[in-house]
Amino acid sequence: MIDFRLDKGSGVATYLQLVHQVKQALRLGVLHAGDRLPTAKDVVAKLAINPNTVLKAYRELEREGLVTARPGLGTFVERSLGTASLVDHARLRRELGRVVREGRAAGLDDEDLRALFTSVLTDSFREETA
Amino acid sequence: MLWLVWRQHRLPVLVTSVLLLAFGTVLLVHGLRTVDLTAGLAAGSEELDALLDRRFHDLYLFFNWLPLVPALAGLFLGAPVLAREHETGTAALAWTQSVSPRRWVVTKLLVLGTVVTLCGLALGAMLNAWLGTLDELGQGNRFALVPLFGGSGVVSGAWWLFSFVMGVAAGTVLRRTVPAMAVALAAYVVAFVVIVSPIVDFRDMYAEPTRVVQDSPADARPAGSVSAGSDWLDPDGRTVDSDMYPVASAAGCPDEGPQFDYSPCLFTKGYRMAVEFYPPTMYWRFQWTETAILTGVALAVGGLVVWSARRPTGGRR
Amino acid sequence: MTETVLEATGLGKRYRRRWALRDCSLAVPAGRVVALVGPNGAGKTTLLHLAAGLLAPTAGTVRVLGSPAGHERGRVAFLAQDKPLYETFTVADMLRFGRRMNPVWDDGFARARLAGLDIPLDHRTGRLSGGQQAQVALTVALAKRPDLLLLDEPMANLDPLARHEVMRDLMAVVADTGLTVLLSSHVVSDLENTCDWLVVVNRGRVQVSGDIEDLLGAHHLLSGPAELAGAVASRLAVVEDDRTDRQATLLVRATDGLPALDPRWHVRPVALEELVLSYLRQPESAALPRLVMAGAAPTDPVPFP
Repeated sequence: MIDFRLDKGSGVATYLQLVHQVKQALRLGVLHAGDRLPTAKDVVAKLAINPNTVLKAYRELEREGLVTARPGLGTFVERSLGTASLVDHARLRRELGRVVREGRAAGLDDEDLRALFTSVLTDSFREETA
Repeated sequence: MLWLVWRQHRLPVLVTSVLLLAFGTVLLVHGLRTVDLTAGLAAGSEELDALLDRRFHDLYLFFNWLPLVPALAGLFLGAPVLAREHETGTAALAWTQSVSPRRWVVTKLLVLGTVVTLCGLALGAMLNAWLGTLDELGQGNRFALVPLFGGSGVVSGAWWLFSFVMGVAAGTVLRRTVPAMAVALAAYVVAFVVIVSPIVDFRDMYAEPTRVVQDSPADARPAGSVSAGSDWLDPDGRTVDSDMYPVASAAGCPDEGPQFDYSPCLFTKGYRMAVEFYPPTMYWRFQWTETAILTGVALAVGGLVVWSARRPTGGRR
Repeated sequence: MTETVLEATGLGKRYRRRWALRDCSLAVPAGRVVALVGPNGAGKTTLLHLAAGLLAPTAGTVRVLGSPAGHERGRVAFLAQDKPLYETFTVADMLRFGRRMNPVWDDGFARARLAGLDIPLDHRTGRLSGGQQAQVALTVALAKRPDLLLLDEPMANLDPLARHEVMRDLMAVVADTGLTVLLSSHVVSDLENTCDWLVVVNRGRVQVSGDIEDLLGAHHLLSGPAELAGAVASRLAVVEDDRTDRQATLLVRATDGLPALDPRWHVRPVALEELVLSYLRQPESAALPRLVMAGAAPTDPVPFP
């Protein structure tokens, strides 16, 4: 069973934190296909957050095809994540390495690179969720 | 609701009951002893009169405090009913439950009002029973003596109820227990002074007094009567004055100073005295009249309290 | 669940000469957890007391669960700021009080909740700690199984652990029963994760009322050269305009999405607390988007004149 945690200082919307944590659990193999996610009431009773937030996170996961809600029974994991992406992982790492080297060549230091990366992340995140 | 009334007000109710029980026990023991002592003594004998007089004065000092007793019902049972709810903030708890504020107030008034009235009636009945042991005395004390009239019979219950409702009303307006107690006490004292004191002669409005014209110094009034005044009539039957001294001067009685009893002189000169009084048989009529007045005021004020309970916290904070 | 639980129209309350609340129009849909925010003395308590039927409005109307406030007493629970309890009552007496005063009463829930909080039933409420008293008062309110729960500063005087417990239980009941909660606070951070509807009350007026997500989505913080600010202000509703001679920071409301802006603007989303503070600093701005019910004119997006 997944154990949700909140990072209040992160600035990331609560429902997204829940979505990320489920995905993380899927990647790490903590959750498998067929597992039931905790009910909204369970999550709420632990984290003291609005139940609609949990429902929204679950809807988001459902939209991505990761879980299915079965009325009266709960929300169940449909498929896991991660195993197939190992190849992708290596490729992305290579590409990022190239970007970093180009940045250095252009005179950016570590701080600048980190800021750039965060800003790109935030922007793309905003596009996805808009 | 009944449980709530009991749970919230059980302490003053219990204390009152215990005090009444104690007082009743004293009266019972004392009364039974009086019956024992008077057994065998001839009615009207000097010995019996002296004994009954002594028995009466055993407790009379205590009775001077009787008029204050109903005030306590207003202070300790009436004033806190609404004032305490406002003071502790529990009004917001009590009046947001399913029971409507109006029903809450009506129930409290009805239940506590009944309890208070019953306490007053019990005190009145006990006092009447005790006075019954002294009736041989023939003084009809319960009518003529202010503390005994208010403390006996049915009017006792009415005074308790009146005082209680004044307490509740003061609490409704002031929302603070101690000021409400003070106002309840003040209202009670004002009512008491208006009704009882000779300044207003309020009780004289309850009935027409009996009028007797006498031409000798012998008192024409039955024992235990309540005096309602007297006037001197000249030999032609015209009312002259209630004060004896100027009448005596006008009649030509020798001047012996204002304190002198000129009645023998006046009677011999053909003057007569018109005496107005209420005979002791009027006791119950006075009792019921005063009961009706006090209960009427209590019901009217109680009605206002209920009416104001539509929006219990009203326009102020 | 589109039923309106609380509906105020032109609602006003005057104490002697001072208006504690005026011209208040809002509608709260069922199943929401509503944050009623505003500085102390802004009119939050007055609004809650009006909704609880403890006060009569001076102007306008307030309807709760479809009836005038004060009519559906069994379905509305109210917890005042000082969490009043009868001090001489034991905790068990308080439960008995609730049972006697309400036709619907979940005694099992009340006892289970108090047991879970380790609050002994035989103690006098006056002897409990402040946090325990608040929990008992909340239990009495919840055991009525209300459809609307009104809470005045429920977090005041509670330690962080108790706050968490209160919120946790409250949210569990919301998840369980679809209860609508209206809670006031002047600490916005308390409400960040728990509330999904925001009502900002300031100086006796309702300034903002709406779904928190919609509000956050519609507001943007723009920072850029000061000379561009005028152009933005002519196209968008500006809530707060903070300018130096070079730079401008604008909080703008764009209900229908942000239009294309000069690339020199840096746009970032706004956090709930920033949003609330901006409105509170600018009492003449208002956002009452699309939740003003029939009968009252929608005021969005025009600021107060």
